[in-house]
Amino acid sequence: MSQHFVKCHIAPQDGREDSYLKDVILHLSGLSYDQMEEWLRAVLRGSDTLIPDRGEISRARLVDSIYPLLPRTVKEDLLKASNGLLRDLLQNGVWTDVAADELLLLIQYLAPDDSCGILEAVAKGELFRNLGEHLRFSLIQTLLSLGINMPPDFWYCLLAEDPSRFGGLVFDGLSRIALDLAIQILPSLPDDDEVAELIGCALPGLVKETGPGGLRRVGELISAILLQIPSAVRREIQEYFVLEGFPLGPSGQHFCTITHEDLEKALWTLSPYAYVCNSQPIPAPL
Amino acid sequence: MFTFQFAFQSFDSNEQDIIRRRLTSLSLASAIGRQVEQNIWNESKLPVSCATEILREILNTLDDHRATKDAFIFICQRHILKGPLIGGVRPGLLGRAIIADDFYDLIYTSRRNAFSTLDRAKAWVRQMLHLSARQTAYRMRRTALGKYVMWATYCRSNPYLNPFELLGGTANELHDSLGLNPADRGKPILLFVYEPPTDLDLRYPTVADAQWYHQFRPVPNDPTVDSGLTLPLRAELVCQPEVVHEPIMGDTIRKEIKEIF
Repeated sequence: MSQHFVKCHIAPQDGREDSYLKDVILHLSGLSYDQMEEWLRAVLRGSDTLIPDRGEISRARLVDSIYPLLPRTVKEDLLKASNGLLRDLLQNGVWTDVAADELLLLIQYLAPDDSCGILEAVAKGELFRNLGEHLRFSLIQTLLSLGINMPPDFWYCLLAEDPSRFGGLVFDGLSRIALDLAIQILPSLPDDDEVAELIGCALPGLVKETGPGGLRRVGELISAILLQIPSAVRREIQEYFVLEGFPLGPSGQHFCTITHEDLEKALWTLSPYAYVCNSQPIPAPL
Repeated sequence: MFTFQFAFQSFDSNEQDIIRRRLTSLSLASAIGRQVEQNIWNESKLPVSCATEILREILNTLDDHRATKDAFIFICQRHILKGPLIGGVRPGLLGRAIIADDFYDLIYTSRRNAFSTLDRAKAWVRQMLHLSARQTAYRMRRTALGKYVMWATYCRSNPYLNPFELLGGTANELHDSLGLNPADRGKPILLFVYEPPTDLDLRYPTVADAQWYHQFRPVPNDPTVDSGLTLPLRAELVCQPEVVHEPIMGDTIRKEIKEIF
């Protein structure tokens, strides 16, 4: 290829470099609060023209990437606007799923102060039950990201609904209430590769968040019920611990009493209240 | 042949005026809009039929820059991966450099039933950093390395070489060579090196693949250019070859994932 074309290709006669950032900062700095809310709404819907739209990266992440570059007052307005839109989403519900999902992601990224209270109120209300499945998950993830958990029966209900699909998420969610609760569901999971891989996805975060000695603590709890865990899930777990240099073997203890059949029989309804970890009693395991 | 210019001729003069007006409103709306509008006229790899459809969608939209952008993105999504196959020797290894935070976001949003929070997704990705390539490929066998369209580079002088070996060693050097989003300059980058399956089509990127991304430039309209080209952020850097393809799974990974700073 000739050098000539390389030069033509990169000739900077246009909007290259960071000029879009200057555009964004300048534009946002001149907006009133109402205009800021309107801009953010357009971003989440995908119709804003100021920031890139790359498909595979969420728009929330793109807003998050420019957030540190904004002046303080603009940041404050942006946080306020994201809360305002959250209220609008929950009160009016006329958002598309994609835009609503992006807004919830944005709340996770920016974590504006008041959003916990707003989301908790939703989790306690009827609206939560009426959300579509995808949005329900987005909301759960947002709640968890902000440190608000759901009660164990919520997670058990989800597990009963489709253990292959939700096994990993349920394991993850329960572990945030109590490590034991998460480990106790392992024997009840179906013996398939898909759910095994989901458990494999959850383990690194679980070990990390368990804190110092997390690997040993999680490993020992799992060892106690290792032989009760379906073989595909067990293999995935053992592989993870081998790679981490802490091979697991069965310890012969048995403290798990949940079976997959138990879960399938259980048709719990969604808990109508939010469960705030550490602030309410943990219901007894099944 | 500049395909949009060719396609434009198939519209009558009244329609041409409207299309021109819509595109002008896009270019006046923002720096990215300016670039997208310029890219449209410089595109030479997207088939004329696709270019015609894109212009028709723009023609039929409301006279408002946001509506025009919506229409443009909507119709581009129907024409992703329509560029021709790249020429030259087919690369045996491809490299994907992605801002670490972007990859966590991608994994988190594309595997909603796997992670309860972004931090958990991040922890899962980060455990791969101390695994061998084989272990990583196994762990990531059910995880797509991208969404919709994957952009990758390769080593032109040796298509079986890790493409990142000859590029700069720091995140900023690589960032500038590959023309990643300037807003993310200085942030850690994850490097994935993978083997494209033999039946995977490697294509020239087009405006439809780039959509609303300002760092993209259409391939020069020259038959000797046998792949897409990155747009380095600094003029003294050389463009790297660039291809697009369908998203593939992590079991194709052939080198350890690296994080550079």
